[in-house]
Amino acid sequence: MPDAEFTEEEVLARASGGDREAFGLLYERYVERIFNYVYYRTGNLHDAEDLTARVFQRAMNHIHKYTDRGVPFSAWLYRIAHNLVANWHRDRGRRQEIPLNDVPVLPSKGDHPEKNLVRTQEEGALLKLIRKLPPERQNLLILKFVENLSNAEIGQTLGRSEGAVKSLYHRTLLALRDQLGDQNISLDAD
Amino acid sequence: MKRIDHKSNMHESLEGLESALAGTLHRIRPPYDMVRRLRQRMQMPNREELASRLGDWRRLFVVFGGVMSGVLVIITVARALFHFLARRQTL
Repeated sequence: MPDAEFTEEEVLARASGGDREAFGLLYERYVERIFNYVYYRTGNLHDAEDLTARVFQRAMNHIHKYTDRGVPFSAWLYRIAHNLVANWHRDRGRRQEIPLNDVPVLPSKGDHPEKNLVRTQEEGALLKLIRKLPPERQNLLILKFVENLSNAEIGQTLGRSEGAVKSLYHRTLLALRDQLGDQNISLDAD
Repeated sequence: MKRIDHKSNMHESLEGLESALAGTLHRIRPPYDMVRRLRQRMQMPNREELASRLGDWRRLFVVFGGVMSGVLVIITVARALFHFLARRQTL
C-alpha cells in the first residue's frame, strides 16, 4: 500500500474499517511527531518510546470510533498522547525534569551535526523552565516550535480559537522571560 | 518616550526568547531501531484475534472442567460399588 496513492481521508476510512496496513501508513506518517511531543513532555527517551507505542496501540484499538469532525487526525493522536503523558506524570507524582547533563543527544533535522552535540547550559535551563510550565503551555510551545504549526492549527489541536492561542503564547513568553530573569539566566540568541 | 523604550526593550527580549526557544525546541529524529521496535509492537494481534483466542481458552477450560467432572463421577461410582460389594462380603 504505497503512501502517496491515498489521501488522508481514504487512509483513515480504511484504517477505521480495520485495515491494518492503512493503520501502518498512519503510524509511519505520525510516529515522529508523536514521539517528539512525548519526548519533550517527559524528557526521557525510554519513557518516550513506551508512551509513543501506547499512543498508537490505543489509537489502533479505538480507530473505529474516530469520526472526522473537521479537526485533523493529528489532533486526535495528540489528545491521546496528552492523556497518556498526564497519566504518566500523575503516576510518577512529580514532573520529570531533564538533568542538564542527561539530555540524550539525538540527531535533529537541518542543523549541523556539531551543533547537536553541544547543548548549552542556557538550553538546559530553558528546557527545565519549559517543563515547569502548565501542560497546555508546554503543548503550545512544542506544537509551535517542534512541529512548526500555525496558531490556527495549534488552536484546532488544543481546542481553542486562534486568538486564544495567540494570547496564551504571549503570556507564556512573558512568564518564561520573568522566570529567566528571576533565575538570572541570560539567553544569547545566535 | 520612556514608555516606547520600555516597549521596544520588551519586544526585543521576547524576540530573543523566541530565538532561544527555536534553538532549544527542535524536531528530533527517533532512533531507527526504536521505530522498528514500535512497528513490531504495532503488529500485535488485533482485538478480534485476541478475543477469538480468549474464546478458545474458554472452550478449553469448559472441556477440561467437563473431563475432570466426569472423572470425579466415575471415581465416586467406583467407590460406591466397592463399598457395597465389600459390605455384602462381610454379611
